[in-house]
Parts: sequence; structure tokens; C-alpha cells
Amino acid sequence: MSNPLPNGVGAEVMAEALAEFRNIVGTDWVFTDDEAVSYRDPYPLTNDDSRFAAHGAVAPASADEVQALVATANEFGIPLWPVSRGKNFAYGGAAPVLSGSIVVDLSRMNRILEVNEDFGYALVEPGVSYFDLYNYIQEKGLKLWIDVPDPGWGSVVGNALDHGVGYTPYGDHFGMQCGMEVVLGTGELVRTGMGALPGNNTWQLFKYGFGPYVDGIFSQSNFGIVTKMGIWLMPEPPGYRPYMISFDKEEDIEQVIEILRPLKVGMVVQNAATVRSLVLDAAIFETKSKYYSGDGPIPDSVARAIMSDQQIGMWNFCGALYGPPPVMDALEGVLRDAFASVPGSKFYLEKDRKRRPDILIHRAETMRGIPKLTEFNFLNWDGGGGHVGFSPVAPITGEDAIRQYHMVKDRVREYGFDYMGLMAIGWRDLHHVTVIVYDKNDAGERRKMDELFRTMVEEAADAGYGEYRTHIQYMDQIAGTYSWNDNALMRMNESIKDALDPKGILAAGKSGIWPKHLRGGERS
Amino acid sequence: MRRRAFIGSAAALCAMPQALIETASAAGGTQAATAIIFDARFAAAARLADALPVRGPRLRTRGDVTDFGRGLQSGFDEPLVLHGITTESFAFCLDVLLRERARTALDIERVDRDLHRWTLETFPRSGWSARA
Repeated sequence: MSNPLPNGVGAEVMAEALAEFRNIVGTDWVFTDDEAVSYRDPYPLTNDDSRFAAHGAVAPASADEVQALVATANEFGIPLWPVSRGKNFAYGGAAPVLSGSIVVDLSRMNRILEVNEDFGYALVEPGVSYFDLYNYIQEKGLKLWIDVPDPGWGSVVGNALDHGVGYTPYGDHFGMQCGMEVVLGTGELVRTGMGALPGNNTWQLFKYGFGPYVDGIFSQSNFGIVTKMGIWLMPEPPGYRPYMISFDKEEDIEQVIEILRPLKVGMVVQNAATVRSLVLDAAIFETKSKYYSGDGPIPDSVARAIMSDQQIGMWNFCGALYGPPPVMDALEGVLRDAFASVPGSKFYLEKDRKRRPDILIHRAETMRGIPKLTEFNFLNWDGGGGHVGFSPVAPITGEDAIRQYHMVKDRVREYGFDYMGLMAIGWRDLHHVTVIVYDKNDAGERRKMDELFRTMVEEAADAGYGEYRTHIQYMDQIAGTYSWNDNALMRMNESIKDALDPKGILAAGKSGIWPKHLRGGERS
Repeated sequence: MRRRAFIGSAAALCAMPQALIETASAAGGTQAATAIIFDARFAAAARLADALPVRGPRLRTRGDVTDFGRGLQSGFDEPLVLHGITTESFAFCLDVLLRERARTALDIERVDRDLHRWTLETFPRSGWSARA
């Protein structure tokens, strides 16, 4: 099957545009036909191959080339879909919302422009991965830690722009962003914050600059292509002590989250800690077949067997202490006392964990900013290799945690899947991220997944919970749940879109934001 | 280089990319398997791996492709042909990692509930393999 053309663009026009793209970036860096297959979503949730299919891809090496590509796209009316490294798997990867788009693959723009040890920041291009930045810091012997999401091959820029999270005290990735350079849909190059002042030496030090603080509008959006971004890095602490607290019963989550809230708000829990469910943790090192040969979700007896075998709980709270030993000792004492009130809870340090491999030993590396790919193991829980993330946000309260847990767990199990969720504790919020693993090669399973996901989005929204991030297939639906005041937020987003990208060539449909010529009509 | 020294060694997985490159180069670019990777958690994987002919090492994994990713620093001038009996995500992740350095072709089929049998070939590509 040939790659689709975007709505309103004929084959001749596309061919002319591609020829111009080759003039800009070089023939080696324009990908068409079979070479565009690698930009497909590896975890599709649709049985329609014509959806989310790029026509081709182009890989620029500099902001100048990005500007030239945008100018050409404007001239020919070619929709572009920028990706940093295209590793946003479970959310669509490098695939565009609008079929026929040309992916702008920024992974060649992989320069680490500066790492400043005194102030703790890096200035990077979108093609820099967590592995790249980590290796750079190690090679230079700098006393800095990075904050990593679970897969280390993603883009530092891309993850932050998609509101991704990690697990050190710097886990709010977009919160740690400081200053960016952006190519707008008009082709203009802009620097935000202090970067707009020529000769400044504070671009990565002070976020706000002067006037409206605009950086946020370039996250999860299609208003521009970010070509440089500053990110704050944590100084290597004088001490590091990871810990895990296990809890025996499903219903413990209510009490655990209630205990956690003041500890997090009061910064006794210093990092972006997580409370992870039994099956998610078990699946990091083993597959379901080791414990259960039946179909459908595991019964309670099997859950108990897994707990015993891997020495983990129905819930496992992984956190870490950072600082001088006397500080860590004091904080550890507070944590032990706080959670001792949960019957059956067990507090572990690394030295207490005997089994290898082990979940705390694994998470301990992530919580100190070491990039890995280990978490991909959970995709194999039932062998199918596909996964999608459902991620509603809640306050850090026991009432909301147990409500969300039952809402999601009951639906997931009703559809025949095991519940594999975690609660990531932010500054004031709880991200309830549930991964659902499925057989990506089974059309029936994809159909079932799609129905399950759409149902959960509606039920969560009806209860006042919205997602913080989502797969390309659900961007329209989830944008539609943020409908307060007759969709005032979307109207504002569309106004910004029309101003910054008047021809609507950037990332059509991203976060449900469509260019004017594609609003409310036929898009493919 | 002693190929047998790599069997069963976790450290070998980190050194695997270089070992594979040397094996592929020594073989003069023939299409026989450069190496076999199997998931040591599953007896069936070991059995199936033993039955496959290979020019280079038989390497164990427990499903985590991290060490291979850390060891991968340069591109491939000679094609690699890897056979594997692993979980699906190991093959997927390996393909993604190698695709950053070369063109790849992954042929994969499910063997049982957990395991997939696959062949992953790399082909030099003037663009991407020159990025390193």
C-alpha cells in the first residue's frame, strides 16, 4: 500500500515539496515509501492502516534547516508532524494524527550545547536522548544528576514538552525547563524568557523573562517547533538512600495516599515517588505464565503467590532520600513512623532486598537518574507486546486514589486485562498511570482496547478527572473533555494556532487542536 | 577474540555490539547468523537456540535490552544477522536501537505465550550510520 497523501495535497505538489526538502537537508535525509514505515505507531489501537500514517519524513540538522522546511511547507501547503526522537511509544511514537503528514524528525539535532555544573543546567537540542546526556555528564566527570523517565532512549526536550515525568526531586520535567528556542509556523525563530535579550547570561537561570510567560504554549501543542531547550539538573547529593514500603491489601491505597500527602507537600518525601501495583512490579522480571496459565486477570490466590515469590506487596511505594546522612536518617525515621500505622506494611532499604533481580534495586537506579530500558519488560506480561497508557490526574487524597483505582481496575478486569497501574506523586497532584498491555497483532484485541479506553476517558471525565497526556488516537476525545465554559480553552487554543501558524501546517490535530481549514470537516 | 567467553556472561551483553561487529567483519558479510540471543528464563528458548546454527556467540538475556543499548556506540559497516528467541519487547527494543545506526529488517513470529522467534538484519545506510 502506498503512503497516503494528506487531504487537499495532490501527488504532484507533494513530489515538488519533497524535491525542495531534499535541496534543504540533502537526499540522504528525506525518507519516503518503505523508509517511512519506521514512523508508524508500533502499538496501534486501530485496525485501519490508513490512519496515523505519515507520507514520509525529513530529518533536518539545524534550526536554519527547520526554518527552511517550514517555509517550504507553507508554500506548498504540506502538513508537518515534528518529533524530537520519535520514542513516545504508548502515545503514538512518531506517527502523526493527520495521515499524509511529513514527519520532521529532529533526532539529527543532537548537540549538547552546554552543561553548566555550577548552576546545574543543560542546554540541548531535541535529538539529545537521556542516554546521551547521562553519558556526556559521566565522561566529563560532572557532579550532576539528570532526571529520567522509564525509557532512557527518549528525548530530553520531547519528554518535557509532553509533560513527561521522572523520579528524582527534579521529576516534573517541564517544571525544570528554562528557556527555549522555537521555530513558529510562520518560520520565524524566537527565543523565550531571558533568551530574548541579546547578550544575556541568564537564559537558563530565570524562567520568566519579561512580559507574558509563553513557554507553556509550546508544550503538548502545535504552535511551533522547539529547536533548543534549557533544563535544570540536580547537583549530585552528598548521600542517596532508596527505600521501598510494601502494603499487603488493595484497600491500603486509601490510607497510604492520605499518609503520603502531608509528607509530599511538606517535602519529607523529596522525590517524585511512586506507589506501584503488584502486577506492574511483578511484570518487570517475570511473565504471567510463571504464575498463571489461565485466561483473563489473575485471581487473588495467584496475586498472593506473586507477593510471596517476589517479596513485594499489592502496592509498593518506592522513594529515595537525598542529602547528608544525618538529614537522611531524620527523614527515614519520619517515614518509618508514618507508615507503621498501615497493618502489614514493611519498610525496606536496598540491603534488605535479597532476591535478584529485585524491584527496589531496579528502581534505585532510576531514582538516581540512570537511564534504562528495563521497564519495557512489563509489555511481555501476557506476551502480546503492545501497551497504552491511561493517565487521569487526581489530588493526593486517599478518597480520590481509591475511587480512581476501583474505577479503572474494575473496567480493565471486566475487559479481561490485569490492572497494572501506578500512582506518581507530584507536587500537589497524583498521576494515576495505568498501562494496559495487549496483543498488538490481534485485531480483536485492538478493537477491545479502543472501546475500553474510550469508556474510561468518559467515565473519568464524568467524575471530574482528566488525562494529563494521551495517545494520538484519543487526542480529540480528551481535548473535548476540557469543555468548561462552552469549550473556552479550545477556542483560545485555536486563536493562538491561527496567529502563530496561519496556514496550519504544524502538527494538525495535536492535542485536539486543528488548523482552521480542517476544523469540523473531513480530515482524511 | 574468544567467542565462547561470551556465553552466559552478563558483561558480554555490554560488549556484544563490538563482538558482533568483529564477527560480521571476519565473516566478510555473509548471511549466516552473526549471533543468537535467547531469554534464559525460559527452557524452551534455550532449547530452540541450541538447535540454531551460528557463526558467533549464543548470548543470554533476561529480557532487559538496556546493557546492549549502553554498549552501542558506533554504526555498523558490515551487515549483522541476529537470531533470537526472546520476549517480544526485547526484539522490538533491539530493532529500535539498531535502527538508529543502520537500516534494519525484523522478521518475527510468536512461538508460544511468552516467546517470539525472530531474525534481525542490519544493512549499512549512508545517512543514519554516519551519525555516530
